[in-house]
Amino acid sequence: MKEKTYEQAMARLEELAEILEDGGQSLDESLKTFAEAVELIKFCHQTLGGAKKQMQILVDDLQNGLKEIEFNPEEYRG
Amino acid sequence: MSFVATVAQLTEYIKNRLERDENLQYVSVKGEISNYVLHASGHMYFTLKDEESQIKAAMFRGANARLTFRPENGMKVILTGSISVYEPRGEYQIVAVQMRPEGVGDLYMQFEALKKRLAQEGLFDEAHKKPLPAYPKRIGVITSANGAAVRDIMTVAGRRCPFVQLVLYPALVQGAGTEEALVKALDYFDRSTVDVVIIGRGGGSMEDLWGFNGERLARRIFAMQKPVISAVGHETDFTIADFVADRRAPTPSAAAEIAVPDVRTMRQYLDGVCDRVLTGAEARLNAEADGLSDYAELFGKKGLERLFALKEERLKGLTGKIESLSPLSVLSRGFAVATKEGKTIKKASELTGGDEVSLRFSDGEKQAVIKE
Repeated sequence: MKEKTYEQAMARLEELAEILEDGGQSLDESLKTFAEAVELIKFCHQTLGGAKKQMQILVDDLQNGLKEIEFNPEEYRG
Repeated sequence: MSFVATVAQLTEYIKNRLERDENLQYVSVKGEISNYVLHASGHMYFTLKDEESQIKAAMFRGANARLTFRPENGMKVILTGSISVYEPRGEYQIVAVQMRPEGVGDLYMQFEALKKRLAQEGLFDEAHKKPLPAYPKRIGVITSANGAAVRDIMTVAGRRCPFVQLVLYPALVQGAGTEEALVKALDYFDRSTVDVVIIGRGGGSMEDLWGFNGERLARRIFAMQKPVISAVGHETDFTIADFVADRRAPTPSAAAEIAVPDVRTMRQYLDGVCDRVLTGAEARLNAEADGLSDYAELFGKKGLERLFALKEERLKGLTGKIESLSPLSVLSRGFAVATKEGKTIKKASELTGGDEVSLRFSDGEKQAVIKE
């Protein structure tokens, strides 16, 4: 499945909420809609619970150009 | 007896000598302003002095209307004007037609000129400013690796949304080579996978911030594919980078607030949508309460359990309701659901001999043919 962004997931989730609220779908379709919504909610919750990411700093890798390494501000005190 | 002149005659002679001397016409002189007065007439009168001497000066309304700064006592300026003599008082003065601040002021004039030119070209227009991404995953930061700016950004971003990835391209933020370093950093991030770029530094004097006023930097910011937030810390003055950027932040911390969403707000919003989904599903199920169909199988305990992890309270209520409505409990008492071509049959009158029906029991389905 193509990697989706949080923005896309939320947009789709809001669409599905509206569809369910309208109640216009058949029961089968409603259940499928609900199932899709559950998956999206799971995805969003997982994203929000993501672990803290440390800032990266770009350094010259000599042969390969720039690469990212963990940035520790203590090492750079002017 | 030698010729004895009147005061008027002597003064007239002096006036002619001075006012016809080409060297004293359109001459440039630098000095410090004192005794400055702006008349109601719009004319400016002051004294221009240095350590050893002074000269009276005037700048009339027509000429001083073009000034882009306000003269003040103590200001060092360069005047261009002509010497004239005011006979009634026997004074000579320089009547200025141009005036500009000296030293830092020169830079300031260049800044104003560049700002005007770029504005005319449309580089500052709102129409060209890109919107910022609502949920960026990666944020590029261009600032010095030492200094408070980067640490402030880390703190604010970490507090608001810990799972957003910040990437620092360390760059000079003052002194020679600043503009070049900043442009290089922008080049890098435009080719990279960041969603938005913050470029800036902490506070400083106008001279310290000068690198952010360069034309090349301005044009590079304008040409960026990714949105740029400029954060050059200064209370009152904007640098040219601030005008061109897609957003301006007064400090690096403020830039992080703008760029990074607050995870608590995101969570609240998600909970809100989740509520709507559950309410909608619940309402839909209630509407179906009379019709007995396969939903017990489709909806089942398994589907509910997945959602249980997300919304315990609501779900307990929902599960209870489902179970009380569940046709399974009805079916296990000996009732069966008859469907013909997928449609639930509620009345015997809907069927005639020969019709093929599906009978759903609590443990599965069987096919049947109506006798009569």
